[in-house]
Amino acid sequence: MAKTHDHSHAHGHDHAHDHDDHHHGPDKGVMRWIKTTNHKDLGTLYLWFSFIMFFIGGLMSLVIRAELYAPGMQFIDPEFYNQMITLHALVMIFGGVMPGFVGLANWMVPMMIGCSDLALPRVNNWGFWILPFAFTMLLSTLFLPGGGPAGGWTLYPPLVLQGGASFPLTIFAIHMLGISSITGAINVVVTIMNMRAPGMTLLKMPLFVWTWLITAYLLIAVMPVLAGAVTMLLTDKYFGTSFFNAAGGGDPVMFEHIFWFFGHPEVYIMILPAFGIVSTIIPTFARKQLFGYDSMVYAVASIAFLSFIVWAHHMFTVGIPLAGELFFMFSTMLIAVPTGVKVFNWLATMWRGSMTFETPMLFAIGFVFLFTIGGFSGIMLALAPVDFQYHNSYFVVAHFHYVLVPGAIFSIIAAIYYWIPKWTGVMYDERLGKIHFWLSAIFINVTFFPQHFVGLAGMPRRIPDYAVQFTDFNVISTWGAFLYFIAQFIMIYNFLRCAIWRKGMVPATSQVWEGAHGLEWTVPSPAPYHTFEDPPHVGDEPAAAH
Amino acid sequence: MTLRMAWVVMGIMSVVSLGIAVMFALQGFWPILPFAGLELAALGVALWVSLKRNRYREVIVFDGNRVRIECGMTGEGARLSVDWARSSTRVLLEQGIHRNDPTALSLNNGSRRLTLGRCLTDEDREQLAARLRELILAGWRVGPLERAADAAPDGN
Repeated sequence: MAKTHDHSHAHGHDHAHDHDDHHHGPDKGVMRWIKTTNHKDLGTLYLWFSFIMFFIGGLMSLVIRAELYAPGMQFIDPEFYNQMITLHALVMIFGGVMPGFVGLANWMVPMMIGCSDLALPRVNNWGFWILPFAFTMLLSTLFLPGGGPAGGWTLYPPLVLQGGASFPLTIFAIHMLGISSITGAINVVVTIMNMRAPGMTLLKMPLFVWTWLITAYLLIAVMPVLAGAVTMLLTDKYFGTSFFNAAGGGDPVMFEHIFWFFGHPEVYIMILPAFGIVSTIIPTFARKQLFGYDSMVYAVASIAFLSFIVWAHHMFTVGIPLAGELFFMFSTMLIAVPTGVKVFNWLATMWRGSMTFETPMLFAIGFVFLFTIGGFSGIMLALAPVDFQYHNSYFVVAHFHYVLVPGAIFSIIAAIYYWIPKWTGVMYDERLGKIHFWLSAIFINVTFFPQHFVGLAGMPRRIPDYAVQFTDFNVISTWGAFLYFIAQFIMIYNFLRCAIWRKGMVPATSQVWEGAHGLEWTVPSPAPYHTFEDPPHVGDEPAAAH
Repeated sequence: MTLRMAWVVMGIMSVVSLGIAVMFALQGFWPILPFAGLELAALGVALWVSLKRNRYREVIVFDGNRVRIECGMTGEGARLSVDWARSSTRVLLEQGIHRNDPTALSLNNGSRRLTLGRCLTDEDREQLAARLRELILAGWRVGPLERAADAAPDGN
């Protein structure tokens, strides 16, 4: 922002935001990570935090699967099982998937839109550092008398109100997670709206940036609903209110409405950035522009809009009027239209492309194929009459895990493989990457596909014991879960080699991928600590080329 | 982003977020409303701060034996303007007290001091300081009469 002029000599600095706590390069030691306001450092912190949470949540899932290996009670008591399913969900959603995407946004949004950092770097630092404290508090409830929260991540009253000392701590942790999400969302909105490089109009932004803008919008719209809902639970338990207490004139079913008014957009918060990642990777390895860029943007916006009017499909069996069931059934089925547009566009982008199948592309194709399976089972669940059979069964568990694991998590993995050469300056081991993909793709299906069958046959979810006829499929599912978990160590080793043990690794060029387009590929690999001190200019080429 | 666009963004956010909160408040679930209000206030402040930082400019002009510095918001004219003799102006780049504190760049003229480049990185501030020193050195060649004339107060 300071400009000097000396007759014909003019030397200008024009920066769009506050940098006064930035340095030539990173500081040394632990204080670098605690005090950093650099978007790349914070992106790295978010991604490591996400990995740790995936590991903890994964261990919880193994406890669940070990217990379900055989009918009857094996290792843990039912109360602890309930705590595991509750915490597994909270950890994976709020600790794994969301911080994973926020980490990617931290790293890539400023580089993709050509600015030097997020608009509010200090807020970004606070937003991250809330997370470890929130999760320490949440996980520490396991050691309290009565254990951790055990009412499921949906926190339905009156069950959740019967929890012990863990209840208020869980509510407080959720508030902290909400604050963290909101700070991230506000930062993303302000950065995208205010700090794009000259020439980068909205319809020239990379799809990943678009999907994050819409995700941030959803977060801002629905996070107060969650905050209000959990606060009302707290006041019902400790301050004598009766928002959801039928004895005091309240309505427990209204909690379900309020929760899912937040919860369904939350599902899209966890998948829209994945759409952006896949829309970035597929054109690179198909060596073609993204087919139907504008329609992709409109499809994402449509999905976001529809996410506000479908919440009651989670509660068809609660006893809502027939007209309500019809409305929510049809509105839910409408989501298949923009989702179909997206899948069609991804396929059309690949059609007659000069395809190569590096690891990010394999994960992106795996996403398209397996997410679509989750989408199809979603359409089945959207049908109110048949949902009465599927509801609360393992079929639902299979459905949302197909959407979240090969959907959200595969896309995060694909994104890291895709951008890690840019972040670290070295190429990952492609052979290990491919082995990781194939093992993941096989074992994820071994884990979750049988759950469709046991669900349709009547096995309920959230129950630690089951009838003996479900044993075989549960054995297969448990084997798949353990082997999937073990396969992830290949990825961890591969990424650690890029990040820490770089000896013998192949240096990455600035372009990295032959077919890649966008501003992030115009800077060296590894990307300098401060990118785009002088804003780049975006030319007139079409948006899909960025 | 213009101020008008910022209002449009706030409007789009507010209509949806407050609409949802009011709808629930009318059903008796009012605690959602204050959270929505707080969040929109935070968004508004963030947009305002970002817009303000975007519009802030410092312009330094070297003209003959004078150096003129203007600070202010684009479109609003200079809020601060000084006109000093090049020869009696010094550049000072100071390290922060703590290792992690940013550097501070200032121009000094007699007892007057003007801090510049707070929005820059340390690296940029160093580059700017070096460039300013280069340009000011030229001013040291002017004679004592001009220096005496420049010692007069400039109203800043």
